[in-house]
Amino acid sequence: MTDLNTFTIAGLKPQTIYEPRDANELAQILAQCNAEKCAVIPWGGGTLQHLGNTPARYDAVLQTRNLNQVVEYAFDDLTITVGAGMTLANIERVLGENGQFLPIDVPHPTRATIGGVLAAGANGTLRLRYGPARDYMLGNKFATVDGHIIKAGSKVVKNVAGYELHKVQVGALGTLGIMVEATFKVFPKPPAELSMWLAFDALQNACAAVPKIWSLTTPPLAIELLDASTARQVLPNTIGNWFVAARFGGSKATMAATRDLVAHVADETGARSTDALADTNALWRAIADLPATLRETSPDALCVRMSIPPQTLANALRVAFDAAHAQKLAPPRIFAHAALASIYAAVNGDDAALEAFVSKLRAQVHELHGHVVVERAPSTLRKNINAWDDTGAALKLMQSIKRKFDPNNILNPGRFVGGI
Amino acid sequence: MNPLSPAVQELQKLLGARSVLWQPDDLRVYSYDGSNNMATPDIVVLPETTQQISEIIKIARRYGMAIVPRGSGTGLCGAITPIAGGIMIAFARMNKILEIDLENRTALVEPGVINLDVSTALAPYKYFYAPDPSSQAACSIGGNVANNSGGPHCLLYGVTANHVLGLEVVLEAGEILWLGGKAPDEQGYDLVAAFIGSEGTLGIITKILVRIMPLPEATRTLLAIFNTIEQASRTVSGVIGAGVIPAAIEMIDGTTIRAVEAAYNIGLPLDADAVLLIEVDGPKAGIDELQQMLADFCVEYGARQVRIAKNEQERADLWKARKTALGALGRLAPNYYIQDGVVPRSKLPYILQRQDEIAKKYNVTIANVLHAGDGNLHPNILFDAREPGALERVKEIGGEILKLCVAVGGTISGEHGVGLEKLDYMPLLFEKKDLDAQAKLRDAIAPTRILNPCKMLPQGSKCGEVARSKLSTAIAGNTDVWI
Repeated sequence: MTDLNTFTIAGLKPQTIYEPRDANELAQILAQCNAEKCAVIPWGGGTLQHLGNTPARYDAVLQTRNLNQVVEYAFDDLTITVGAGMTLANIERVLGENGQFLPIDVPHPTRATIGGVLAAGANGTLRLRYGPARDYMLGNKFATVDGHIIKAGSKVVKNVAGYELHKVQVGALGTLGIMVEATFKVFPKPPAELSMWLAFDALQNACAAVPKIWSLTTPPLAIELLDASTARQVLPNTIGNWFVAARFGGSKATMAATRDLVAHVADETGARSTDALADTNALWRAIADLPATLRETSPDALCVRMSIPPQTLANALRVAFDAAHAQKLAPPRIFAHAALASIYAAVNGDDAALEAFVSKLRAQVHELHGHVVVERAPSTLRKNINAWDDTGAALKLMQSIKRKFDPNNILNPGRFVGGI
Repeated sequence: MNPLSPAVQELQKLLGARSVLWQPDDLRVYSYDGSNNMATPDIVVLPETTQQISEIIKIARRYGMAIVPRGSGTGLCGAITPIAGGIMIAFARMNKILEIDLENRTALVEPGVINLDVSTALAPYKYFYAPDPSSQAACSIGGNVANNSGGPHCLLYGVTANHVLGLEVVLEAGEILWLGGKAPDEQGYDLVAAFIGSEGTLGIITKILVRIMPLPEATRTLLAIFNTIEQASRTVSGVIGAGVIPAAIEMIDGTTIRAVEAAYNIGLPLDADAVLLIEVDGPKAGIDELQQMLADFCVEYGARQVRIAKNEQERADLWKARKTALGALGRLAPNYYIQDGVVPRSKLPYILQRQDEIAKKYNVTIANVLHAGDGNLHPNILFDAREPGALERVKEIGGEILKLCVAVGGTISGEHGVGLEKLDYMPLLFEKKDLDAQAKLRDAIAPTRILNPCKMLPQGSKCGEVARSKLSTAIAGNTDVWI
């Protein structure tokens, strides 16, 4: 019997745990919950349940972990269909047997389920090269509150028949339906890889290196920016204040040439050291885990994700430091998907200072045409602070979509943007 | 429509007389797209600003008229055929590239901008816009977004949806809304994804923020000639299965080769049954090895000759066969009916063989031009629209091919869209509950259905009757079919 405490969200516990054996049973349970107007929180591996606001109601948890089968793997077509409850690690293992992979490198792959990761709209370092998950998710099936299992998209790599309902589910936090299955275009692993580690004394120089690496003739798979605290989590003895980790894939000849190109960027931007690292699988795993590491190494920290236009990386970081300084907080700890400008920042302090920090940060990031999501807040602060930033006039359309798909508001109520 | 009608008068007051077309001869030009469908709008307007479009929609609502957006009219599914009449918004004058932002790798464009013009404008900076429909010299970005268009290089770079970061849209109430933007991870539901490929049924797109990319340092193009189409299609499956993803793999069959040779004499062997055009791009270091590997692959799978472009001119020559293919089909028959099904790539040999059997059964010629790397078929069924019943017959054949595609796990349209053409085939792919769920999305955003009505989803009997009556008229006057 699973412990109800496992499913605590913001101090709230469910009364019922449903663990359907398959998609049909899941859909039936959902319909029953809808009839009883019982509020349901879909649950995969629980690794991203810190996202969103406190649930408005929370009656039942609906676990997807039994939906953990490979439905169809056409390895010679480079497509796979998996149950929503399958963990990323298991998917990686299956694809790895054929030298293929799914470029979703988010924290806790042994627990995180594909359904949960898609619902949360989570993306990792490889998004730079392969795009967000919605770009290579070809279709899915999801259960609706009226008990149907809806098919959207297709299982082939190109399809324009119908509205892309499957893509609308990505990042919807399970508020429109519960995903039970998803089909992906998968990718061949590059024959060779190159991982470069650049150390800098000054943030300005590290930021200057990012667009230069992004513009190299070898398109990078990932470019990450780390401060000293996060860098030492992944490479304990590294020396410097700011670090850029760049990953490339391609033929051996391409990688050899790329190494020289990156070294040249390092010289140009005044790096204190440049290293080509070997055996980097564990390193990239640790880097991909950093958004979670930031949260978990300091349970009281306020963790935000800033999304900004790429060009404003240095400005956005300065804004974050200034906002912390203004509240007399210690400088935020930083990890960023640097090229596509998604910055994770963790900051500790008392509630009043943190609240003021978020408010100031949001105001300034808006000026940069970005937004700030509070991914995790100390429990005492959580109710006073909106996890989501302003969504503007589009919210009205989102509420209208929500009403159509979940008229009784039973799916994850209150946790998503604008009270959805 | 007559010039005194209140709708025309209001539109003229808003836009000026030269931007409102209502005379039958003017409207006739706007009756067509690239498909075999035809219907005439009541009024055509040529706005220049988003604000004007907002006002046009409000006027349309007051008079209960449908709104149909039109880019360049190159669409192949009847998505812009105004079967319920109404006001057609033509984007010919909203054709400006508003901003090129190299640091953020975006370009902001109006919907009427021609696809190729974006890459041409970016070329001096060594950037490009990746999606390249075969009609890219004529088709508009707005139309590309509305149909989620593809193209040969989608194999590596992905379809239009992967390259659109933001949209300005006008909703059916006239409200102007920005969706997405230069920052990643827009919060809330992914409305940009919902609007892409929605064929103008959810809102009218008035600005598009596209992702731009640096031009690859090197490109290598090779053309492999095969004695049988089976060898060629096995080569495609083999390359993909081996985990090599070129930028493009296009296939042209023997029928098309002979038409292209008759028209342009570009030196392809007339007895070949298929050619593959394969392109790879990327960093200079390592690209020659990749090219050699692909050439070896083709030979291993039975290619009798592999030609490799040595320079830009030779590359253009190799592409010429692909780019002139559809035009050259005019040599073989007055009309062709193009289909757009997709199959899993490993099923290409099977589907092409079955298609051949269908052609024999119906005694028609099918000329194939495929985005083979993506498994996206483009069978062109040749016919003469002047023959009574010919169009109905080729549509029946097209339907049979689509059924086969779905039966092997594929889909009814890879890049051309549903529009009117494939409405009847949607139930092959989706059950009623699936279509109802799609209708929920539409009804949440555009409940009045004045925006491009009767498209995309097979809907109520009323739409069906309108469609049939209007369309049957168009088909009965077959001498009107231009293409």
